Amino acid sequence: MSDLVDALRGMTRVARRAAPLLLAGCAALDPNGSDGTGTARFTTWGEAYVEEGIGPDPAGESGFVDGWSVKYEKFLVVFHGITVADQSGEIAAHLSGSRLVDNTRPGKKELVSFTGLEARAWDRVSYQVRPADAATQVVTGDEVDKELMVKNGYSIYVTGTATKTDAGVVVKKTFAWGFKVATQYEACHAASGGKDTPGIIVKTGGTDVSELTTHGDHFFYDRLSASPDPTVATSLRFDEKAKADEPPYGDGNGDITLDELRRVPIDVRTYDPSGIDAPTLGAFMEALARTVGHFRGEGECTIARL
Amino acid sequence: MANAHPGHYVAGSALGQMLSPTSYDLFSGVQALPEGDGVTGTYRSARFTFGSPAKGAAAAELGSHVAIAEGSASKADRTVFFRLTADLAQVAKSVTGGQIDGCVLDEVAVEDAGTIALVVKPSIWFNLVDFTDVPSGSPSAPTEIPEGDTAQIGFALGLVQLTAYHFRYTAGSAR
Repeated sequence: MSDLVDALRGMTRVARRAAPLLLAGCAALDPNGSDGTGTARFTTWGEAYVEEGIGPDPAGESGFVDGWSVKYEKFLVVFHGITVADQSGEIAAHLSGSRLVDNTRPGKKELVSFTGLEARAWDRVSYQVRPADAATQVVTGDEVDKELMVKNGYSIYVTGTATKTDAGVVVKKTFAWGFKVATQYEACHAASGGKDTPGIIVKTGGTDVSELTTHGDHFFYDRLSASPDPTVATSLRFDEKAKADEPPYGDGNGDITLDELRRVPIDVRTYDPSGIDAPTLGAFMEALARTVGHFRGEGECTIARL
Repeated sequence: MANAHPGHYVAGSALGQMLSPTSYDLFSGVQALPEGDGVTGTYRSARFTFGSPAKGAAAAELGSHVAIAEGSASKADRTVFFRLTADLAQVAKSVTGGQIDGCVLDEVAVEDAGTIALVVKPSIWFNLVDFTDVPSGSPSAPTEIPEGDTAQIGFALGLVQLTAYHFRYTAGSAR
């Protein structure tokens, strides 16, 4: 990984040295009239799981192993502090404000574009998901969503409906969960051209697009980290969440609350909190809420509490 | 299968290590671990590794187990006398090679030799253990909770909880 970065930096240095010789040609060839700078654009998307829902899949490949389906109605996330930097600590760009997005709305949403960035590799990209404030800008969603987030100190808020057909009977549960977690997503990296690439590469006159992807399936994992044992699968489960609404943990009103989930001990036969102190389903899901943020699809970042 | 994401913790460069395997009965109070090596720098996290077969003071009792806990658990008017064990293979289903990465080491700039204290908190090992269905046993014949029993699975998962291990550096002559 570092070899790649070094190589890219080497290329940049060569390009800089060669620049005076190429200037005459550049004026004609570069319709943008750029001067060794480019743009870094950041978007967000919830993928099909957030926009369309998560279905059942007994094989566990792409859905709930226990027959449930989940359809989100809201998937609100507050992004802060998007930063483009390098490993020396030089910061190329930083979003000082924050953006509220409802990722159930179709398509990719614009978060911020940084123009005039030096064209080179910026291998330290980071962002935060933390509670909204009065200055948070609503990208998608509405002011009512923002008021709810600010008033309650939420960074993530999801609502939806889960359904399961059991012996011909349709069981339906609703949920509305607000999370106050504040998380730093650091040193983001993703596959590019078959190689794992840290951060972004800004090209002269070009626009690099990074999607801060939110993964809607993470709340339903039965492990926080993949098992080192390849025979131990990670699965999406909802049966235990549904039971949280039933006595003795819940009120049976058809709506699953985080308080009800916090009363349910983790079932160690099916769940592995992976070293995190999460003795209840609610605590485990709060830990999982820190993992919904990703980078360019399946790319990852190092997570830290704020 | 859904993809859980193991890449969310990235360990920093190793600055110190104590690689001599050893074992203790935690009831024996403060014990001196073998000496380790280190370099100067800012320390802020540590790794604890379970190994098997056991070596050191408690090796004979541990055998192939990485941990044994024996005692009594009480709730309301019921007491359970138990013996719990866990093996490396079971722990390694949660953490690679029995290595618990990312344990807290109180951040400190290390400039000289000193002592790193490892505090083990066995209470954390029991966070996920439910004794409800465990036979009561007796002080002289505690219930041996077999591998695969719900309480035993909870014990094995508890062993890998990060908060069960806390490291702290103290400057001064190593002891």
